[in-house]
Amino acid sequence: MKFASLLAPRTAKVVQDASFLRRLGSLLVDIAILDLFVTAPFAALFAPLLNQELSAITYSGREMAAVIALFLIVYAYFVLFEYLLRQTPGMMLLRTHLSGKDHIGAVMLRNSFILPVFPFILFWVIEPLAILFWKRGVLERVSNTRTVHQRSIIL
Amino acid sequence: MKKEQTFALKLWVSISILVSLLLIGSLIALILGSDTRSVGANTAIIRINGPIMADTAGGLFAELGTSSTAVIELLEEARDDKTITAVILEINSPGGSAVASDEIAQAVQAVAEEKIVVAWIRESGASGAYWIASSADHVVANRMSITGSVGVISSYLEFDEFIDDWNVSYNRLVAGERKDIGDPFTDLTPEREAFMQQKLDRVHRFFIESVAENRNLTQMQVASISTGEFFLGVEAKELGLVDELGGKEAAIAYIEEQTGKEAVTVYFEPEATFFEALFGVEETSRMAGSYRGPLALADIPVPLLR
Repeated sequence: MKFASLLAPRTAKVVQDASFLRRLGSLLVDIAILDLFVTAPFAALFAPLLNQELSAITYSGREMAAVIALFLIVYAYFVLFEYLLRQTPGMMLLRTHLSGKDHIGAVMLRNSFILPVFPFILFWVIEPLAILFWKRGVLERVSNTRTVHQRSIIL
Repeated sequence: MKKEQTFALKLWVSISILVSLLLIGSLIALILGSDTRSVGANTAIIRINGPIMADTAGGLFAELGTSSTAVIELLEEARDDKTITAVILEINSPGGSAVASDEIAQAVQAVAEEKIVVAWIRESGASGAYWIASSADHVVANRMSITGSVGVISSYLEFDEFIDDWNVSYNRLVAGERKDIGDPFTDLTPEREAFMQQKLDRVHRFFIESVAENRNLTQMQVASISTGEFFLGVEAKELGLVDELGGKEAAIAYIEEQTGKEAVTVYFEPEATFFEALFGVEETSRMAGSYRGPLALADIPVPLLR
């Protein structure tokens, strides 16, 4: 047994910032899950709007409230999963997880780009670009968190 | 073991979060209402699917159909909605109760006094469903739609000889000689049959009169084709029972021609129940005025326009 273990390759776990593609993949998985389970109740509410041209769509007060509620639920999805499990289901699948501060405020801050209000709406463009070029988003830096990927390497 | 425990814990937490968010979302969607009224829509589509009945108590395994109460509510809503200028009745029904059909027909006529009403017959719009369609300003049917069937039926199975064969007694206790007319456990004598037939003929006359008035035909003309036979859409057009052969596009085109504006449609349907909201049931899969009620003719034969 001891002799066999001497021959086994030595491995080490390396934690590094998750790549853009891996993060994109996990986001797509999360969106699919959200579509199936979380946003389904709102489908009937928004169905009439889909018949209209995009430029012609105007929201009634009720529909606006539904849009806001929907975004809040999506926000809650990411915050709850990242706070309680340090991973969303998409991240579990793509083997990434949250690292850094595990304070609820930090998790809420790093996910605040989801909120459809100014100024967070600007991060819909800023965050993906930051992740693409620097592997770490602006909100992640501010909240002192990272999305990392752990893998084993053979020494 | 630790890995399994961690996995199990993750799974339970994930499921809990998803279920909680789903329930919260459903509650919010329900509170905000499954009101599918669309801003900018000016044409309401109201579905009439399945057998037409007045309200009855529901049952889990009962037949799907159309409740006249629910449809009338939707018609009144369309009539009172200032943004709605036209109504399309999307009909896919073999008919049903005479009373329920007449109720809806009268409600359609009330709406037609203020707004344009188009009946769009799909697979079938026969008997009571045709009575309703004829009340509209314009009737569109597919060339192969089953329509017409201007007649009344009240047939039922008679079991009096059957129970005799099985030594079962029927104890007839009535106050009022004709109280149990139509009871399946009594013999339908010629006198009783004539009595029932007289009622059916009366209902039939109401049906013929209404169709004649609605379609600008003479009662003689309608009576001659009121043998209860059904007609294909193309035949109905030749007989004057239908105005145009086509589908939804034809109905919309007629409305646009009459109003001079683009017709933007929206389905008018009853409010979703909690379970419908929970599963995000698409509006197209819900039937206007649908209910689950017991099958007709459970006890006393009811004159049916079917």
